[in-house]
Amino acid sequence: MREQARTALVAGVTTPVGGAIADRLAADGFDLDTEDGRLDVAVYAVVPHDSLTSRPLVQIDEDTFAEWCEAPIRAFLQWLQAVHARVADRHATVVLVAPTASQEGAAGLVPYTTAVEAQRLLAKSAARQWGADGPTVLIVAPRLGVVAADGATSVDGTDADRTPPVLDAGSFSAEAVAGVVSLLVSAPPASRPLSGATIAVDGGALMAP
Amino acid sequence: MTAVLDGRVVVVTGANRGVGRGLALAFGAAGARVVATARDEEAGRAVVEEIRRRGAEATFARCDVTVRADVDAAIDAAVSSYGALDAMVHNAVSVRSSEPHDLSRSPIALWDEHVAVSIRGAYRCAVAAFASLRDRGGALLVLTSPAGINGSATLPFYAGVKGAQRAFVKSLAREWGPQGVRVNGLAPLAATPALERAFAADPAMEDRLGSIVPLRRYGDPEHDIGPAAVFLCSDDARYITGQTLVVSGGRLTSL
Repeated sequence: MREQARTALVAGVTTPVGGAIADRLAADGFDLDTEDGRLDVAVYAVVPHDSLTSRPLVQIDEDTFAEWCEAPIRAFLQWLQAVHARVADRHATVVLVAPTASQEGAAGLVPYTTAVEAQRLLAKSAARQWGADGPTVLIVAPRLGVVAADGATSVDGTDADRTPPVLDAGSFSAEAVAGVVSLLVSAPPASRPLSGATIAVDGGALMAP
Repeated sequence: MTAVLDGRVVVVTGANRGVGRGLALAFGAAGARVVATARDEEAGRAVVEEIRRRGAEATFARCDVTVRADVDAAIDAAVSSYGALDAMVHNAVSVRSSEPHDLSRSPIALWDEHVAVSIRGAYRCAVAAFASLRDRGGALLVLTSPAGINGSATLPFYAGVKGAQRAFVKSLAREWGPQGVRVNGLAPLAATPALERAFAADPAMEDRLGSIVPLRRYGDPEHDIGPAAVFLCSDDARYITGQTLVVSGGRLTSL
C-alpha cells in the first residue's frame, strides 16, 4: 500500500529561511498545506521586518515598541493556538525559527530580540505542556543575518551575529537551516527523540550554553 | 547586611508584597534610600513604614507599571525626594501570573495582561529611568524567573514574558554598556504569596518543585533573594552586565 504523503505548513514562505524550508520539504515529499486539515509538520518562519529596524530603545515610542515587540509575539501565539488543533492528536512536529540573536542579545534590536525570546519560551512551554500526547516542538536558530538577508532588512548598525562561525558560509545558509529542519521532522514519529530543544544552525558560532 | 548601597537611591516596582517587599527591605538594610512603588497603596506604605522603622530612608509612590505617567512619577519621586536615581528594579508581575493556563486555548487577553506588566512595564521602567541612571552610572535590574529559562508546563504565558525579559536585559546591556549603565536579570525561586497560590491551584506542584531544589526550601524574599539584588545594584557588581543571576537554591543549574 502506498504510504500517504505527509503534510506540512510553513508560515513565512516569503522569507529566505521560510522559503528554503518550504522548498526542501516539498522536495522531500511533503505536501505543502493550503487547506485546514491535519498537519504532520508546522513551521513558523515569519520575520517581522519592521522589528529589525536598528534603533536605541530610548528613541522608540510606546506604539512602536508595541508594533515591533508585542505584535510579533502575539502573532506567533495566535498561530500556535490555531495550529494546535491541527496537530494535537498526531505525532506531529511544530518548528519555530528563532535567530540566535535572542539568546545573545543585540544592541539596537531590543524589541526584536525580546519578541523572539518570548516566542522561544512559548515554544518551550508548549513542548512541556503538550508533552507526550501532543506534537513535539523544536526551535531552530539561524544567524540573524541569514534570516534578514532578503534585501528588505539588514542587521547593519546592530551588534547581532558578533561571534564568527567556525564553519564555512554554506553551513549556516538558509538551505542549511532547511536541511536541518527536514532532518528533524523526517524521523518516524515513534523514534523522534527531541522536544523543546533549540538547535543552532549557525556554523558553530554560538555554542551555547 | 553591610551598607554597600549607603545613600544610593533605588526604585522597586511591585514592592507591596512577596519578592518586591523582600527586595525593598533588603535595599533598606543595605543603606539605600528606597522608593517603594505599588498599585496597592496601603500595603506599599506598610513596607515603607517597616523600612523606616528599621532606620533607613524610604518613600512610597503609587505606581501601576501599565501606566506610563505612573512610572515617570515614580522616577520623579526618587529624584525629587533624594536627588538622584542609582538603580531601577522592575519586579512587578501581573496579578494573574501564578494562574495555571492552557497555552492552546487561553484568551489572548490573558497574554496581554502578562505583557502589559512584564514586557511593556520593563520598557517603561527602562526608558523612564535611563537619563537618571546614566547620570549616576546606575543599574537596571529586572526580576525574571527560572521559568523564563526552562519554560513552564503550568504557566506558559508567564514563562514567555519572563524569557522575553532575559533578551530585553541582554540586548539593553549591550546597548547601554558604552554609556555606563548596567542591566541585569535576577531569577529567583522564592516563597511568596504568588507561589502559594500556584501551589493551591496545583497541589502536586509543591512536592514536585520541593523535591528538585537541592537546598530543599524556597528562598526567603528578603534574606535569600534580597542580597543578590543588592549585590547586582552595588559597585561590587560593576563589571557584571547582561547576565541573569539564578537564585533558586540550586533548582536551576543549566544556564
